[in-house]
Amino acid sequence: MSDPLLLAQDLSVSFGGLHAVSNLNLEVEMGEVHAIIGPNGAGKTSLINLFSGDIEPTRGRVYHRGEDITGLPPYQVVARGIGRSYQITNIFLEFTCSQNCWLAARARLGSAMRFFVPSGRDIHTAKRVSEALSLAGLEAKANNVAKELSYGEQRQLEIAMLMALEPEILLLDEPLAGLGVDESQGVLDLVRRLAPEHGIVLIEHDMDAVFAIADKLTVMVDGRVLESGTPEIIKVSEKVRKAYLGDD
Amino acid sequence: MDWLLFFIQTLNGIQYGLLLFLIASGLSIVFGVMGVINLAHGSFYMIGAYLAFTLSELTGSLFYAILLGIPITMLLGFFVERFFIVHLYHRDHLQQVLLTFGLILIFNELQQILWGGDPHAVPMPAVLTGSFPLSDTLSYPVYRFFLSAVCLGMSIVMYLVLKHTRFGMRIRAGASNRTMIEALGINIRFLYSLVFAIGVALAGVAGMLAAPVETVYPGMGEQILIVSFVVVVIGGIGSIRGAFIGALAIGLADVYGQVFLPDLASVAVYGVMAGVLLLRPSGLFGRGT
Amino acid sequence: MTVIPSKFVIIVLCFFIAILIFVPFTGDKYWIKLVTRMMVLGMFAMSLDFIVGYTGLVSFGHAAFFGLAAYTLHLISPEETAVNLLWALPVCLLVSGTAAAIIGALSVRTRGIYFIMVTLAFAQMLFYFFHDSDIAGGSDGAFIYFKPVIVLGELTLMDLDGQNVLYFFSLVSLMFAYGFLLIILRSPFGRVIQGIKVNEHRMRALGYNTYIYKLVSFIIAGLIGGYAGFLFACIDGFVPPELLGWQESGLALVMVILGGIGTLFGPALGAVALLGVEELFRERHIFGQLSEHWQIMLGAFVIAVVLMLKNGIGGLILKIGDRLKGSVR
Repeated sequence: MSDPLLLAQDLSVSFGGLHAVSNLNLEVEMGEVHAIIGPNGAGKTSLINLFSGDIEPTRGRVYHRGEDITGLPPYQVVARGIGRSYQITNIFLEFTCSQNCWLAARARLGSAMRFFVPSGRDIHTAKRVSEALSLAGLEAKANNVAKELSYGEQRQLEIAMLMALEPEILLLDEPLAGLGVDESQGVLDLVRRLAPEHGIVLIEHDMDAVFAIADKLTVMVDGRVLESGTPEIIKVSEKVRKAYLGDD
Repeated sequence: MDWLLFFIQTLNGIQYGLLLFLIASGLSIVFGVMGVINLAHGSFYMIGAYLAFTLSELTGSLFYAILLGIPITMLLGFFVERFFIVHLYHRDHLQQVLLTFGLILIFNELQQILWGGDPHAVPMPAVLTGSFPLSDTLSYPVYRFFLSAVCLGMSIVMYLVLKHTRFGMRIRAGASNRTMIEALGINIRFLYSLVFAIGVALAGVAGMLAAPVETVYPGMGEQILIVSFVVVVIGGIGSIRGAFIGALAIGLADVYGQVFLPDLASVAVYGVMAGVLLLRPSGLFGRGT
Repeated sequence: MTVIPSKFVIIVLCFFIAILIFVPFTGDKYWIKLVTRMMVLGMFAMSLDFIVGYTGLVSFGHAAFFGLAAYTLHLISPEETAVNLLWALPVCLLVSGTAAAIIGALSVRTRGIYFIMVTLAFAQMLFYFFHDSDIAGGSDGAFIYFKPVIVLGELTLMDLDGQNVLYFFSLVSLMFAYGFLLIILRSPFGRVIQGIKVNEHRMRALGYNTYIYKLVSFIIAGLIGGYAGFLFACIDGFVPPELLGWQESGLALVMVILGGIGTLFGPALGAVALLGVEELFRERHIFGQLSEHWQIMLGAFVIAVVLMLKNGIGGLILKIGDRLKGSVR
């Protein structure tokens, strides 16, 4: 049996006295959309930060294709093909959309220690930039400065940058937050299209979207896994209904 | 090396360290509470020393000079905060550094105008001129003991104020979380002025106390400023405890450097800083980057 | 991240260069020397802008590399004859670059306020090293008795002892430095450091080891700064320890702010402006007694620049350029 694409084993992290994530086990397979849901403060974003190398776990390990990647700095995690998007838009506001994507696309090419060649001459990167922009539906805004975009477009740019990274694992932290209906649909379509060839971890509050797209769901409460399984299992789970879905 | 000589050097190192602590703690608190990096902090040390020179000539005693000097330096602090520093609270570090750099140019030139370029000696108070005999040939000056004792006393007072008074609590709150103090609705304008003035007075008193030991000379402010930076970098910004330990470490590194590596004495202090940076880039008690 | 200067900026710069070419023909030795200093310090300020304005590292110790190259030139210049620039300049750059690599390796680990204090402290360490030791004249400074020459075989191609030769060599060097830094800023490396300035955290998340990029950027600035220091030592043939001092670093930062941070050509104009203002303040006919204490006015000027000037001279030129472009459309 081959190793899972992404595996978390007994993962824990605490800030001061607060256990943001405790003893969490999770597996993501290739071709799978794995949604993480749970109330605010359940530790979902901390989990993404643990996967991406932004924070180091206090205990437990993370494996990528069977290799231990616990504690690697973010730039090495990305180099392995694990990319993330941010809940709060985290882009280069002063740069144009294509420059934003260029930085992402170039990152996967390894070193950018080229001093005397104009960046524009790098055709390979340029191609990836335009592909990423069109995947995210931003080709018309390629030369617009990011800070002049609408909020929804900035979210799309965030996705486009992730696309430009060409990761095999996508860590999506609330990609639909603040988007309109049409824009949301666009992002969902994109995720669906990417799913077969990627492993996707998705944090999302929009339950309709989550149940429509996820192959697997993990419900987190207070840093722990409450329940994990297919959407059908989660829908009928008594525990989940009580703790989380029960309030409707 | 003779152990007694070593002992004397250690005392000197501690004395220098305690003096540095007075200066560095002011620098660190001002940065911690107001988020302002003040390059002109060393100038206040210099001004203190020159005040000691002039006032002790006028009054006949260093004691009176210090008593008069404290309110003068505090007033100077209020003035500088009101007219210059107040513009820096919401500006970036580069602007803070450059504005206070401009202040140094002005203070240095004023010093030239008022006191000229010659170094001056400041007499010790008569009661403190003696020295304690340690052996047949070696002795330790009483004034240096007095200097250490005063610095230590002030450090303890500062500790008690920070730890056990409302004012101290506010400063600590500000140093650890600046937005918090703004949220508390305290009269920030006044608190900032007061903190800055106290920082200036600490540097000024350090200058006045040091005047009889080190001669008073132009440029003494910058020299001490840089060393204070080293102390703050080692201890961690905003940490009083860090400043204390950093100051003692640098004080000792300086005197031991002069004894063991006389050729590299002026570089020893920076070597310590480089070592700390290698291990802990945000200082011994820093909050991390 | 627009690096390539607009047509308007190029026209303005050509205008300045035309004036600069004209200056030696006045034959006024004082002016030629002053403008040489302006150009050399302009190059120095430009190199500082590369790290402050494009990489986002506020270094308060940039004079270290400036002064170090100057001292190196003194140390490798024999007392009775001139040194050959063809190897002397690379050696000076090597020394400055190595120092930048060592100081950078330690200080780039820190951020913000720490970075300012640490660079200042390391530069000051070098200052005290030259000030207190007797390897190069100590606090009195050191002399270079014969300016470097370019010799190929038997043929002396250039002698920097000639005032006009040094002048034009400095002008060409300044233009070279500008072009060199522009090319780097336009390269993949240049884009990456500009990304780091805007959002370093995001750059790390994208997969860049930002430490290395910042360090290399620091070294490049140190090299160009060293080049400027080499030229500066040739102007008077005199190297005082103050060249490494914090005042020199501070004034270079003032030039950057005055000229317009992150415009590259601006800080060079900032150097011209600052030296011009300094000359003005020293003018006895205008300021009388006060001219003896011109540093007070300089301090006040620095404070005024920080408080009032937003985008500096370079920013102003860019703005005029944009206006004109807008009105043409």
